[in-house]
Amino acid sequence: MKKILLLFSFIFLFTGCIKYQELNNMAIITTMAIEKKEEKYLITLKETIPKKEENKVATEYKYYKGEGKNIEKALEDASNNSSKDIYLKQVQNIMVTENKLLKAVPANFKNNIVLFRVK
Amino acid sequence: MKKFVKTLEKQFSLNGDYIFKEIKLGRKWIYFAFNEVLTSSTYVNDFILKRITKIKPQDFYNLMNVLPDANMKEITKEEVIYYMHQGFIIIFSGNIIAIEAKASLDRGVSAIESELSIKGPKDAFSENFNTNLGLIRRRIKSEHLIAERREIGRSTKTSIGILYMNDIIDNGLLEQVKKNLETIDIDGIMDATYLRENLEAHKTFFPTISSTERPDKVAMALLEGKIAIIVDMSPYVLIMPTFLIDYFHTVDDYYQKPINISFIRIIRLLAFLMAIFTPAFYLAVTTHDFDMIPLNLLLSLKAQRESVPFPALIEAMLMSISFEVLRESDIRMSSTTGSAVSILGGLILGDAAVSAGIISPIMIIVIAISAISGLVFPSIELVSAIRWWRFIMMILATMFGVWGILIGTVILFIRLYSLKSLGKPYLYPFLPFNKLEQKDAIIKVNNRGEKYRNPLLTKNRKRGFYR
Repeated sequence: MKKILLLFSFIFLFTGCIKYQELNNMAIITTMAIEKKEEKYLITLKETIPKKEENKVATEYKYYKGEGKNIEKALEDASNNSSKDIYLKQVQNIMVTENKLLKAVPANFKNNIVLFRVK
Repeated sequence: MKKFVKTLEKQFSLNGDYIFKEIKLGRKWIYFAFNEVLTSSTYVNDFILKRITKIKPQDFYNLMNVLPDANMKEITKEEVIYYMHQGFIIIFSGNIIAIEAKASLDRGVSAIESELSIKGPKDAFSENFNTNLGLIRRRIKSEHLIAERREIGRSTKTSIGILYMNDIIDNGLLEQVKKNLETIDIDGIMDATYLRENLEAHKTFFPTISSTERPDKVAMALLEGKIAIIVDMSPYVLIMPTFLIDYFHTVDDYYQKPINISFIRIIRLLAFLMAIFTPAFYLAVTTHDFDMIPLNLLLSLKAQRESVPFPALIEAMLMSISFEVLRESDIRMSSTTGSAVSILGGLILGDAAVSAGIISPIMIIVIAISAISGLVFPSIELVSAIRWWRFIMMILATMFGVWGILIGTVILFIRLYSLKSLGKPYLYPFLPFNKLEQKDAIIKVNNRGEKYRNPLLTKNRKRGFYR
């Protein structure tokens, strides 16, 4: 009996470690684009919404934009525009405008970085 | 003698099946007492009553020699009721004689129902003690096979037999078993599994005593140095000690080619792992650790979860419980309503629930895979243990993700390692590691022309050599 009580008390202590997240409340971001314009960072996020099984033809995409002084603040701003939590761990591609911004990108993205120019 | 018989008759006068007869022999009376349902009337009539009329009056005190019979005893007054209930006919002459005339109220040797094998003998134990013992003695025709008798239960007086091979067995194990059996003080036992609680040392989900209805399995276990217990009126025989690896072996393994059996055993191991971990892994991936699966799979899971109102754990529990309900009703249902209801259940759980939007199709696949993998094992106790651990893993996975599954695995492993079956470690060929036994544990190298027995069970290790 004591062992069971001890076990349950441990579960209460560990509630801070729970990262439970419902799949439907998440926006899965697949591409991220970072631009820098006059000290401000502009971030565009592209979310993939899978279609239900009836028509598997097209998946929808939604775009969220945000700007801010740092990349973090720009991300916060972008997430304000969406109704769901942003999930960044499945990002497949990153697009940057300048080589300088490559420093901000983690090393395993080397093959998936696209450089683009805005006219 | 007459007074004693008359008091007996009065005691049983309310019943219709206790019969008391008297026959006059010269100037003396001979009394008979027997129970009509427990004795076979042909035997009583033809062999005993007919012969009684041919004996001479001077043999009154000498009936033991005049009526030769295979199983015949001279008993005292206190034992009369006991022997009447064992199916003996009691003859009261100068002394009291009991002759066995037992009716066989069982179904004879029938075919196996639950532990089927593809190639191999198909006779099964029945409810009669003598039949069961006979089936085993036919397979081990050695003077070293000892079958001791005990009686358990105050009202049922069920006779049980403890079987072991004299030259192989470890006496410590035997003493433990006998001591455990002596502490049983109960009204009656109906089946071999009643004895399980007294003989099992731990209270745990995993079984440490196996019960079987195959005589060849019992014979093989006896030759390895294990102890078998036969219980009257029960078609199951208990074998102990049992290790976890014994539940992965079936009797079929010794009747087929070793290399095919290695493959099948690996599949059984995979089924064991799938049965415990599949729903937990699915739950962990859809609620905590989304980065463990590739993007396309994640997107397809997300699409399926859009249509479902419940959180993943509730859905999984709902599906598991309805599967268990289906299984239970399948067992209890009589064959007349049989197939229609199970088709209905399958249809309901499958198609209709998905199209009604209650359950996602991937959940049905996951739960069905894990439940069916769990049914691979012939022993129902192991299937139940797997079911419990599947639920525990599901709850841990929902709360802590993959880390929770890791914790659950560690706990499961520690639990298995600390189990002892009759004092011997449960995970035997793996820990403590025995290199020779590995040849039969998962990968089978050669057939059981093996040279050595299990060293934990016996000191007499040589089996004999082929070639």
